[in-house]
Amino acid sequence: MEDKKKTVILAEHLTYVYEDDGGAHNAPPAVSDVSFSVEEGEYIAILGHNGSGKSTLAKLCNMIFTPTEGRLTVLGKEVTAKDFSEEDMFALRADIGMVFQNPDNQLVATVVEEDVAFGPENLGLAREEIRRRVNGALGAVGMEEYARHAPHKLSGGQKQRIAIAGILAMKPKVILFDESTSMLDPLGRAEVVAIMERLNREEGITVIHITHYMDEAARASRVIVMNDGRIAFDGKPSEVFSNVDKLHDLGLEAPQGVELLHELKRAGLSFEGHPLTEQECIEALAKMLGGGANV
Amino acid sequence: MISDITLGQFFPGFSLLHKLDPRTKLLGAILFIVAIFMAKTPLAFALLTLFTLVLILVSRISVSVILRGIRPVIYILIFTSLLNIFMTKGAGEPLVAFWIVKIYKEGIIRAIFMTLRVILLIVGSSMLLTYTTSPISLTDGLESLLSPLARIGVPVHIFSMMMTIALRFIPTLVEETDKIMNAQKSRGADFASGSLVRRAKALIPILVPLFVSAFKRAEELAVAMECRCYRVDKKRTKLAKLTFRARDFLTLFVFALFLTGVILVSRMPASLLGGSFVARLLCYRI
Repeated sequence: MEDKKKTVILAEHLTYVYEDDGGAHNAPPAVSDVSFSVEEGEYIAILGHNGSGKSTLAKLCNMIFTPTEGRLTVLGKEVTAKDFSEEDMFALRADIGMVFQNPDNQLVATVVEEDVAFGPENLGLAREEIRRRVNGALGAVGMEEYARHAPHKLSGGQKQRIAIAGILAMKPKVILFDESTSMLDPLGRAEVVAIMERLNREEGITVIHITHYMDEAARASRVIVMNDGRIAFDGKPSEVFSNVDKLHDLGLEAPQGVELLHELKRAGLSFEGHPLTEQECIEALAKMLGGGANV
Repeated sequence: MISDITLGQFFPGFSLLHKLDPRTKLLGAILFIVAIFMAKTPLAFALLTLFTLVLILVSRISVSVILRGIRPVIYILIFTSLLNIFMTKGAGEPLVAFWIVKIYKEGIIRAIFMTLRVILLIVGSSMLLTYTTSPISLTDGLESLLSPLARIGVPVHIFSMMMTIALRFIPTLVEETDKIMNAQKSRGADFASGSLVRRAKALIPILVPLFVSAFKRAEELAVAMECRCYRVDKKRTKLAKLTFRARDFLTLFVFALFLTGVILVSRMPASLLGGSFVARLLCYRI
């Protein structure tokens, strides 16, 4: 069944070097010789400390940056091909949306629904279709009642939901979240993550979530860890987070529960399986303690 | 303090003036302004005042709000009135002659009507535009009205996009200014005391970070817009459709009628009203 799914992103030996603007020469590549593929419907978290190249990788996938070397194929189109035109790029961008870090700097209009309509308007859709998509997208993020509000009066989480609606209105197949939760309060984060998961589960949208938060990454179906422009780990969250010591070497931490169990293991205790989420860790602890009933 | 600044003075509502197409209101405002400058006699001014009162009644905006709108220009009004009173030279004997000051009847009349003209201008146009039209529909209306210019190469769409973005980011930047000011104050910056030059200098540590961040925002916004397939050169469609309804045509017709009325009344000889003293007063050409 796995091989029936389409590959949405295929990166082969991607390298990207920021052009130095008169500063240091021979800047190290932000992304160097990275190969990976993303299948349709996956929910991927990309981790890495600052400067590890994770954001650059996202911007390559969305054609904001052009790879210095390597081959990149997005939704079946090779974007590094010589005959890949600007027209092709804009056609492809409607299918691969991106939600950015700062919610303020991606909202264009002074009214929420006008902002959600911005993408479809750019695509040149008919008015009735735009209206339908705007209502649908606002519904999908639970912001219908704010349709006529001014964006600057909303909370960070609400703004970010509007930004997601703006992308959804273009009916993308893939959405990249470039640290979209990092400027939000815990409540806003939870809202946005819940929407991501639902879009992935119910709408079948491929989600690529770049984040600092391990607990968010633990909820993905696959985790890619970047370090110094290269992929350090690529696998299921349970596999990746079982290498707690290696993660520490990369300046990262596993989710809190996993860290705790890791410490306990080092102290001589043993646990079954690979507990990952808070709930699983609680259960593993309870089991180890022999109780297990009331958690 | 600084967050009290509100842009425009839009008061949401459901009156006829609120419901009109923004283009109707823009054109109506132009007709109204022309009428103000065509008015030459007290009778014409009476007509203008009456019409403005009708606008106020229709808009259902409270009088105190309107008076607040006039307050900022009071000093300018007083200053220009004084200039008119003292500087106008009349034909007959001066009413008051004291040292080098000579006040003529014409000066006083001119000052009164000039003041009335400015007040009507402010109240009328704010009634039609700023109070009853949201900034975004005003922008849409302007873009639509100016769209014929696009054919001769004027980048109408770019201007309206810039206006929209400016309107969108004014509250964000005001908020940011407030934050920066507080940050500088917490480090001992003093914005409120000292000479004017000193206070102006104290603004530099606010303006520099504000500009830096505005440029950063601009870049991020540009990338976000591109990611949403925005292209300057490509035809876009619009969610909001401006539609001219019967009421818009009717309103424009009323405005045109009103303008004609003001022009006619301004040219009417007093003899047409019977030539009595009151008639001559009403038709006195200012």
